[in-house]
Amino acid sequence: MPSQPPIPPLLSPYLSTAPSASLTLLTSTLGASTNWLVLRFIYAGLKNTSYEKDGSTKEYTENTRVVLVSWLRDGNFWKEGGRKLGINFQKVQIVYALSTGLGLGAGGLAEVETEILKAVATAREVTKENGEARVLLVLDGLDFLLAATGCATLEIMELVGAVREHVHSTLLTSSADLPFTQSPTTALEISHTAFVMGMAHQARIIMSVRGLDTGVARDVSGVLRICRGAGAGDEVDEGDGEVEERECLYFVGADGGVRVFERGA
Amino acid sequence: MSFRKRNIGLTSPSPLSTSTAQPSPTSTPGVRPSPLDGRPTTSTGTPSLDDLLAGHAGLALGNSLLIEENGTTDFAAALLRYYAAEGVVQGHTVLVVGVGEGWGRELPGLMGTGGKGEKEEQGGGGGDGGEKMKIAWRYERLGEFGTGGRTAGSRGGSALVLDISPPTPNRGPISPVKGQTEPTTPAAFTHSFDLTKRLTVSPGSITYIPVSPPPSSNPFSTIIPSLTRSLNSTPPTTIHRLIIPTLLSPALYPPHSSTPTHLLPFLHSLCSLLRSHPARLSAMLTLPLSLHPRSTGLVRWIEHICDGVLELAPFPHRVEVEPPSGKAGKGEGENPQGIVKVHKLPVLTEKGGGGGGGDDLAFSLSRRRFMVRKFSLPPVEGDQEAQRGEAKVDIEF
Repeated sequence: MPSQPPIPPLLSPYLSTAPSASLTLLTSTLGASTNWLVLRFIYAGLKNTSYEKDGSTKEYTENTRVVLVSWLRDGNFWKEGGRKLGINFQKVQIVYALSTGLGLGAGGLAEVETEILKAVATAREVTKENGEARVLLVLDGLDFLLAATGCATLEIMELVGAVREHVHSTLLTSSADLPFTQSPTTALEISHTAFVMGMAHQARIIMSVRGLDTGVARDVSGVLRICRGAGAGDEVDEGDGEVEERECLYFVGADGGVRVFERGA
Repeated sequence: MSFRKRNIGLTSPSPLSTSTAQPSPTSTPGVRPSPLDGRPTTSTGTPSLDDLLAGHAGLALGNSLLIEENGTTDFAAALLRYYAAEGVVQGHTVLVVGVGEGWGRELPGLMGTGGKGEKEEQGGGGGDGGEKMKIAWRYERLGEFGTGGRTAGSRGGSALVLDISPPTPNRGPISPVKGQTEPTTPAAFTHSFDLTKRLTVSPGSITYIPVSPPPSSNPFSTIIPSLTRSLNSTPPTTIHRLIIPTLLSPALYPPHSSTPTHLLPFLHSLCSLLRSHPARLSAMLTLPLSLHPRSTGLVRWIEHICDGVLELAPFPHRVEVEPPSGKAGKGEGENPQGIVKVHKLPVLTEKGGGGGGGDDLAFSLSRRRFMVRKFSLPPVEGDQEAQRGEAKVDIEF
């Protein structure tokens, strides 16, 4: 694959800076991870560039910082993938939730909230001198915390609500495999379903990746479905425009480059 | 845009990925850099399993591999034993969870330690050769690594030659020159094992970590501290292999092990430990699916946390005795014994790439090896040309 643009053209309208206080939900399945998408959200967020529908770009003057909290991936993974894209990691505050087991210990969810808010404050601190501070919060794998601690779904959702108040926009990834949500019977499955559903109702956009329905292909990594979430309704007046729903295919190359294309293209 | 064109994407690895400095892996026995991106990999002890792992030609260190198995058989145990035996032979620190020392006494021995054995192994004749050809061909299919087709082809050739003589260390570290023509024999990356032989394991080379029995406590609480202690007390070049046989099996684990709040934090800290030792630690787990089916949320979480997930689905056991195969030179274990499903691959899936290659895969376990290969159904009825070799009766229409 001759080097791909960091942001696939088909995706650019969705990755442009999200409106204030919005939540974007990314869901993944076992063979199809959202990590590549998360990296592109961070890239687009830091670029301060709004991608218009006609392909043109508009620069923002605000300073954006990213706070990345990742429960299932370590910092090296993000940095390695991000460097290839050209993400400036001085602008990314990483909370190492994998190595510290954030939220799994005695501190519980209260500790998670404290840590996130601390990171958000640090990120703000840097941008304060340069004008308005915008923080994009990425919560990667928060659903794991729900499964591993057995805490109530409501508590996690309250946590999300609490930290969302302090940031410009939030990106949340969760797994949404069928075993979790198809016919929830165990406590783990029930709370997972409740969590994903609850977040989908709050989200402005839901982007779901899954494997190819028809089997494995060598030049397709999976299917990306973009839906309007239930949280999109009240924003139409602000002029952000409708979220265009679509389903397309994507391919992640060996070099980390990503192509997103329509079916049959 | 044609369907074909997308395939061109498999270019040579970006220099960026190799620049993530790893302590020169070539110096450590049993570790070699991945042909894809240079990250250190180690052998699972099963060459055809190594070849499955997304072109890295081995299990990338810092990663875990979960082998699930349907039914009451335990083919996965063979894979674990190869993995352990390979570790023992390479002088790695091998840690086994939950089982007693008897487990370590049943590791397969090295193949063909004498000249006679070698002769015997090579006596397979044409059929054997054909099999080797398949190995080479499999390499060709993995032509994604390196600088494209030419390298892959030559590497396939070297595998072809090396694999035929099991006693010699096959497939040494990858070098620009063909391995076997070098005057100094490179350190072996993987070995061949014989299930009928027993590996002599010097006492102390395998550490057994018990699962703590008290019903109130977390049964996994001893594992991570033991592993950390071992990692901290050994020089930074010591490679560790963690082996967890039949996770959650009631024979080894108390009933409350399957509580998500016990199991998932443990796997999470294991994942964390693997990531913080990206050049020293790898892990292999097996999980019997009969008690914990893949349709449950708990198993799905286990799969999410592990880096690679393979599922073995053995064919139903045939009661009638296999008629002796008509084909000369067809060695034992030629018939596939089950299907291998690739759900997730280390490194690749995390980056966003899809699951395994598109081929249907089958495995067969024989005295000499565990073999994963492409699976195709026997010729359909009526396909006379294909059937001629197998069936004697022609069907008339």
